[in-house]
Amino acid sequence: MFFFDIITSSLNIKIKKRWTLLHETVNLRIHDYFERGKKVKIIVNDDTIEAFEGECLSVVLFITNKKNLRTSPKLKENRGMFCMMGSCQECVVLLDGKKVTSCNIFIKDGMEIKTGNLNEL
Amino acid sequence: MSYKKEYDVIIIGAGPSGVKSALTCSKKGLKVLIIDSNGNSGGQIYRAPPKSYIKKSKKTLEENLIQLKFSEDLTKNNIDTAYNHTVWQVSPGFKIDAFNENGTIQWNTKNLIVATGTYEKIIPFDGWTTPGVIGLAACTILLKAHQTIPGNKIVLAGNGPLLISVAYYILKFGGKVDAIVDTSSKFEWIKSMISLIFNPKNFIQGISWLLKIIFSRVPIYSNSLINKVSKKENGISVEIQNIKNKQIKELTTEVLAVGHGLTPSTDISRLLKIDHSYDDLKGGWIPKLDKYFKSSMKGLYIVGDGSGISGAIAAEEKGELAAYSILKDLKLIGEIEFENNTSKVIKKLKRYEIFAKGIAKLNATPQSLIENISNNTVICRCEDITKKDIIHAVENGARNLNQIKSWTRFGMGPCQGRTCQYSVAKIASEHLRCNIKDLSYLTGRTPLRPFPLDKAIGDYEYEEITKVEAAPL
Repeated sequence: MFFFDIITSSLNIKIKKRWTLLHETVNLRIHDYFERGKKVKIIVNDDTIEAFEGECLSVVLFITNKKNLRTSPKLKENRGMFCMMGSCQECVVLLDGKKVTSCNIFIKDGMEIKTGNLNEL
Repeated sequence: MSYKKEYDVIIIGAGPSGVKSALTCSKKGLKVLIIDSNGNSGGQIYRAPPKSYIKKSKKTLEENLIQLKFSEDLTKNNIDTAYNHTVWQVSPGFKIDAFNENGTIQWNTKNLIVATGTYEKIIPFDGWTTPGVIGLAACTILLKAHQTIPGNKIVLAGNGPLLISVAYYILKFGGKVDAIVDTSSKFEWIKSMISLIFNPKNFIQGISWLLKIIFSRVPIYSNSLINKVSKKENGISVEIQNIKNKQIKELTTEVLAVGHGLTPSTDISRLLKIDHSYDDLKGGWIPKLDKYFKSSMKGLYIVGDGSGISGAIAAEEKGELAAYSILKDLKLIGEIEFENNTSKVIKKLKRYEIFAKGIAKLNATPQSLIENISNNTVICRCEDITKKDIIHAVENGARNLNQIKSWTRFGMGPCQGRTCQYSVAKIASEHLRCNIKDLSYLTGRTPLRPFPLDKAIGDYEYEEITKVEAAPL
């Protein structure tokens, strides 16, 4: 079974190589196994971005290149999503004015998110 | 869901170990509650996709099938589940305090099974705090649970089998891996093969993943580490250094996923002041337990990877053993039935633990990673504490982790030292030329997770508040 998988995949990669040369970006969302919720819009700082309802907030921010989520307390460096399991607390953002870890927040239509120096917003 | 105030058994963590012990206990009629901060069972290894994702009929992932089986079994056996609840305090007796988005809740039990698993160990390097650098485990969760490839170009770094697994899934889903940077040498992989054969299923799976990576011609840098990461306009620049000849290669990429193995989550056992011992091959500090995973505190069991890293399959066996031990204590099964049931499980567990040891050797932190940390590298991400600050504390007399904590504020931030405790201990023990065990571990403190005050404030009348009697003069 997996040998077959390997052969098909190596063939696939040759085709994909040409494909990615033409189109630099691959679709980062995989739609083969699951159907996502309906398309909605959320507001991040001053930008509006499209996402699927129920997707994880930190993941959406990460793949739409909004990787800077908060600033560190002393050095004021940008920080972003890191552990994805609610341990590191690096993915904190302001959601409707409250501090939340974005890795356990799921997208709802019209969410307002602020990132950056959260204590001064 | 409406909850009871008191349960026969409460299990914290709905991963493979927690689910298995819940099922075993409930089969003998015990009233069981299982708590998890995620929205579903499965833990991190079989993490369920978000609720809004609807499964398509044709293709399925193996992890997803296992998770669905867990959910189904829990419902069938009438086990109460408290998902989306984060435990922030556990007191002896046992009282378990948790919160969710609606507020706080407290449960009581005589038998507590802690199955809180593990978190990732990541040794710092210059620029590891740059957004775009994530954990290898985080990368797995993105791929398997959220069905998302983290970026168009990804570099994977670190050590151990997770490197292979993540690379495989990225390729399988049609993504691109720029490079795999492995701190182990090829020789170390071959050496570990001997013990890996003890778990043939995982071994064969691993080989097939490796073959796919080789066929996809992903560049593999063995014996190398990430020296430095810096922000570039279109992503990040990654410096790869060979450990032996110190040669440096620079790559520009979008995402760097890095991980150096796993470390048991001992938040609750440290809070309950159980004795711990240090075992590098089991991931670091682990609670002292008997062979049925019972701790020195009456009614407290610690199972799964939280009792020492040995993987998801072994975790199930551990959960089962703890459950049998509870059933025996409650006289729901006799001595003979207990012996019969457990002896088989213990045999299986022993085999898996040989496999786990092989994996652990691959995940051992090489000295070069620690030596590579420069003085200005941030170690504690929450409080911006650098290596220099830690050494300063040690030079001025801090002799264990708690003293270094008081001195520098490391571990006082929102993650409570979960991310950096190991690295700080390594740096300090290196500087003092002492054994890492001599530095002890951070005292457990509540709240176990940051806990918004507005969640604690409910609609109380003054009469409803428990008043503490004034201290005698």
